[in-house]
Amino acid sequence: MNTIVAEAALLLVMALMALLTIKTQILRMAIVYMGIFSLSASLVYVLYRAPDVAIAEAVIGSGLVALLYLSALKRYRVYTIGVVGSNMPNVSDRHILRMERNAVINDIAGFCVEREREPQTVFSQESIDEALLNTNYDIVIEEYEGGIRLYGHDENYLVDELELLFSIRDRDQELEVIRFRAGAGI
Amino acid sequence: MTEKSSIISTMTGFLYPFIVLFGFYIIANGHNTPGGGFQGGSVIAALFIARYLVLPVDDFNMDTLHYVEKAFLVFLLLLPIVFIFPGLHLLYEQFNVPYLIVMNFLIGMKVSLGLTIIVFRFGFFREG
Repeated sequence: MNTIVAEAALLLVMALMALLTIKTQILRMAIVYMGIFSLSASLVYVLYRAPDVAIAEAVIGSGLVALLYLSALKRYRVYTIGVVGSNMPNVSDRHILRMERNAVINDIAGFCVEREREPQTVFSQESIDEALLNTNYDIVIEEYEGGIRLYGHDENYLVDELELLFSIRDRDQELEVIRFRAGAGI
Repeated sequence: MTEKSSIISTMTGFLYPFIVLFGFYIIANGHNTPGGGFQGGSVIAALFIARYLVLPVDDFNMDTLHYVEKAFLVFLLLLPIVFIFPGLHLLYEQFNVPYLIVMNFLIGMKVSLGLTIIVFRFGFFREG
């Protein structure tokens, strides 16, 4: 009787962890959930009287694979920069070329490479409110006449370092850094 | 993983001997209790993984690890050739259990070295 309850509980935990692994926004947390999934799987193997498999699953599933994923994540973390031009109704190739030569965007991209993130710039025609609601962007850049606004999530610690970087460095454009809270707007 | 955490390093240092002991226990008793060469070897490989988590430095000589792993593979092939093929396991039945333990030990060493090499290759991979 107890075995059946334990088995059901472990299988439920496995299903929950599998769902959380897919649904979580933070990749590091997904790896932790996968480790818990592996551990509950190894306990289920013990209940099914396969202790051999349980030992291998516990060591490899939650130890080795988690470490491999962590080091892969450390190496290839994509950092998405959303660029929104509010005064540009049509994003043309010429506009993108001009923006790619923009010193601020290049500075941010170089900064991302330094911190072992892979920068990825996305140009879009969304309004700034839509872009801030879009959770795929790590940083949103809004361009207006003669200046640039940089929107960063207030839990994003890279934004602090970027602000420090730009406060030291000379620049020809006006730049202000604005923090926002996820889901609450600016 | 880049920041040093004194909690993790202290706990890992405390766990080191127990990981080694558990790994060799699994290998040594693999022939009549759950476990065996592969399981014990992966537990011993977890030791190097824990060390990588605490101190990610590349001070192992990878070539030496490769050579030792290949040497274990050669021994792994030689032992059955010497013991099983001439029919010694039927002649001297009292050596069957030591034979299994030695085979498990060889498999465990080979697996632990192999997994360690995989993790270190992956962890210290440099582009270009």
